[in-house]
Amino acid sequence: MLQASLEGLLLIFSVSSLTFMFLGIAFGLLIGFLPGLGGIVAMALLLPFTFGMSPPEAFALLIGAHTGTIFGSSITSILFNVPGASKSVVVCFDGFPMTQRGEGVRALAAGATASLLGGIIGALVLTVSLPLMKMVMLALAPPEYFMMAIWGLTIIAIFSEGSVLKGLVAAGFGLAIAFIGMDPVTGTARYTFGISELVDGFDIPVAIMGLFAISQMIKLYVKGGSIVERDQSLANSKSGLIEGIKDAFRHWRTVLQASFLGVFIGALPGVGASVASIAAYGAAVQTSKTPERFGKGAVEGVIAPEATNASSEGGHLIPTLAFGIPGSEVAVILLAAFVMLGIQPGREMLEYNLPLVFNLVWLIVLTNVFSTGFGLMMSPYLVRMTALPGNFLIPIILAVCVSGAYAMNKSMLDVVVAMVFGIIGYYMDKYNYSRADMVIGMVLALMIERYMQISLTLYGSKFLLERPLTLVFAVLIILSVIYPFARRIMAKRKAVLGG
Amino acid sequence: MSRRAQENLVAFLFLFFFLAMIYLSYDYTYKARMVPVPIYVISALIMLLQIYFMNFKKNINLNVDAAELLTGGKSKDSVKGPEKTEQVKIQKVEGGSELAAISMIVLYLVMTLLIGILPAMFLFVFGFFILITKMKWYISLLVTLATEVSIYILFSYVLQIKFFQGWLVKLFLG
Amino acid sequence: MSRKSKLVMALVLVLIATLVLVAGCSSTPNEADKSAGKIEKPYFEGKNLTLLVPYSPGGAHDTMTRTLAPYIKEASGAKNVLVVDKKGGGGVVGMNEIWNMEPTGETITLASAPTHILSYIAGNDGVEWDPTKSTWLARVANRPILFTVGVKSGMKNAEDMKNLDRPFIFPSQGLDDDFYTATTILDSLDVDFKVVSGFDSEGEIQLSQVQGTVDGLFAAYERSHPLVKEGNTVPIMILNDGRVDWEGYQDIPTVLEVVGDGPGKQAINDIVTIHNLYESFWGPPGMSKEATDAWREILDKVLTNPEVIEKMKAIGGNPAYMPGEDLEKLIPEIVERAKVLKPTFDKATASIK
Repeated sequence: MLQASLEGLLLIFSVSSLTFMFLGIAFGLLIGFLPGLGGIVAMALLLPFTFGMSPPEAFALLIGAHTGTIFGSSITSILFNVPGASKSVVVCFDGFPMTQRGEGVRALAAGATASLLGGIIGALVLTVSLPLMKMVMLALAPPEYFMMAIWGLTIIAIFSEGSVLKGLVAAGFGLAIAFIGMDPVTGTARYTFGISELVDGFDIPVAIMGLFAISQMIKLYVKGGSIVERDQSLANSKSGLIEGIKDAFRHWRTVLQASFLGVFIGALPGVGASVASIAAYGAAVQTSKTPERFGKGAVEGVIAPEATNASSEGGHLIPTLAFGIPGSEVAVILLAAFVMLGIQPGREMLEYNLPLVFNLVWLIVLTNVFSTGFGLMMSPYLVRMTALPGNFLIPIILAVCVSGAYAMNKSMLDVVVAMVFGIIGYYMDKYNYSRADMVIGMVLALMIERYMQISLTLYGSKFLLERPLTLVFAVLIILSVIYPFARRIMAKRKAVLGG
Repeated sequence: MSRRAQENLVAFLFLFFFLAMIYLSYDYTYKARMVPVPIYVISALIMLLQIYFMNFKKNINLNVDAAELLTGGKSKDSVKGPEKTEQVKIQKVEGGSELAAISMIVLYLVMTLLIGILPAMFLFVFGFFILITKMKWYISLLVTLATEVSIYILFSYVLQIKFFQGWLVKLFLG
Repeated sequence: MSRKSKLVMALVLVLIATLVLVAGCSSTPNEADKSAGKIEKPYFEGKNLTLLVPYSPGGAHDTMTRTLAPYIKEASGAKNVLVVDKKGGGGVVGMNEIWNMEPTGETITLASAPTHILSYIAGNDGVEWDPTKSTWLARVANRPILFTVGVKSGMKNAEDMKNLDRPFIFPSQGLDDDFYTATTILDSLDVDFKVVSGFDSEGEIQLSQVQGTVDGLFAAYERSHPLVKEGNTVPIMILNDGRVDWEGYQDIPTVLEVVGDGPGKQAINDIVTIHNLYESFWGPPGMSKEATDAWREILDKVLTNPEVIEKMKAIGGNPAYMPGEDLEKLIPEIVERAKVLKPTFDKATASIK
């Protein structure tokens, strides 16, 4: 095993592999920086170039691109409130307020470091836990997935900032928006009014771009000033960098918790990557001693989703390597690459191509290291953009958003959707209807519907009671809903008794 | 319009939306509406509750705190929104009106639909710099061109995306 | 120079420098073999052609299209051949776009002809096209698909499936061609089945199959084989004209062999014929004769090129070129015959609605 690991590492250190890795990272960073073009776009564009390459070169290029995309998406999420991919939206919740406070460098550094640590943990867990994860994957069926989706909904309370009713309405609005389009169970085109392009519903990344980025530009115009609200000297960027790196290590429990969640949820095919980052964020809030700071610039609110987004990449590879079943869209592309290169995923790969498996693992680690290093170097310069006057940035960011929205599906409908959601997002923010809750609703709606319908078909209406694991999840959900209120009541009682 | 009136307007818009979705759902089979309809109903009821609290329970904040609901009093953690620090934000640029902001978004969208993404981008960005940012014309032009060229190279050249050309272009040039 | 102006200039310079770097590093793929040859009368010479793929980037059709694009560029003399992904509704959005496009011939699609035909016959929501009027240009590949069942289902072969004493649990991602294909075959074989609809991806379905939550599904060889090799699933039928020569699968019967002379034979014959169209090029209705002939000539040169055939195999395709003229005659016949499947489709759809 050790020999295979060393062989896998050595495969990276050839001039060609390293060159492709850096090219991949650079390309990925650029693509990730563009709103809405995160996820698999970079890899899909590079896939044809891998014909004729050796496996280590091909993987270096593809994984480098993907890792670069993740960090590129984080930059725009933190600095401009423009999620580069839908799984980066959670990073906006605390990353952007940190930027507004003049702590953009710290947020980028904390995020980059957490991402690096998460990526390494994800790779390590992938290596050691394959047999265990196989068991876990086989134990979880649609009813358990349904409970996970419901648990995701309970996170809503966290974002409601004291207005739980408005938060629930916002979540209901998000759920409603997600139901527009073809029903995944019956194939009925719902609420489409005969518009063929709505058959697939609203593209969630487009809607998120409108809700956060475009609405933010409207707000910036109305408010005046720049993104950075406090007139802080940017000469402090070096200390911000060090502080951010230290934050990730200081909050090592958050990093570990988020990373394990990322690997676990990433390993489950059918559960989107956004769910993992929402879950990690929720877990970070619930285990924090000062949860009220979240949503207003708490550094743990950046660390948790960044660590998860990175570690879930390792998680996606688990079903891919264990069964040859792709755990995500990224894994679909990697599987296509395996096939093209004549490699059979599954046990055969683990038995006869172990160095290649380790090559993948080491690539995940190293691309994270280089991406992070590059990100940390660039952070102080990137942050300077946020000090530019709002009236300089607004037209440029709007122009990029329009291009990004169109580029996603080559459809003007997406541009219209982005703009409309931009206006909706502005007013939701103004009247305190949480956009975060709306996004959670949008992301979880179809997952809830699908798994509920599948569970009812397979197990009947008593599916909640007949499966022990589902019952365990249900109890955990009830406890996690009650916990914040119980904690508040206990704290009040303590204060009363103490005072 | 007072803040309370605005809040009510927004709340009723949401309520209307949920009721409309319930109405539309009855075109679909039972299975297709099985999950959405209860969600709309619950959301509508919650919205009604919020409207009730906003208008008839005047001694509670507009933002209803969950802990308040449970314990009947003000929670120590009740949050009113982002705190204003003593350090006043140094506004280098004054803000604009909300109507102007929304109009600009609509105008940009209409221009994009009519003349296409790249021409509309040029006009919008250049126009914004000249009329609102009030930059010198040659700097506005330089930055606009830089933005336009960057986006063209990244999207059209690298990503090979053919941008939308606009309805007017299609109409006149076929 | 004021601080603001300096910031602006710095930003502009950084942007321009980055773009020059990126533009220098990137290039469009140009692996075309010059021996692909130019057509005598380059109808599309100097034009910009678009190959629309109505699916997400990275999928099988997308990879195939990107593989063929440089050869098409070389053979057509076009200035540019762009591959555009337009996902949505399992291909419906992209196929509608092609259907409604100006028939200049400058945009065509490579997509699943079975989806194009089956969705039309079934009368799915959102379908605007009529496959008998699309301009058929060439079949690129067919793809024999394996029907596998999970080991936990207890079935070992097709006979076990036919003699099952409980409903066969068939997983579906909604009303896609796998749904129509599988339900027609199961119905024709007189197998009692229950459709569990709502799965999000093939990966999810396969995991459920290994768990034993669902019984079986159709999937391509490269997706099915890893599970078969691991001993998690068992192949029991192949959807293809004849048996395959893949190692270890030579003894697996085709669905036609399984139905034998049973009453469902015609239905299965129709499904196999539709399925064999797997991956085809077509254009919008009403394309001119010149554009249509030009495309057919281009694709003939490309799809018979030995280098292209090797590349297609390398990415998991099964080259099976059929000229557009033959497709044009075949499709209306198939569609007319397959209309008898509508009641079967309706019955299956009703079970999940």
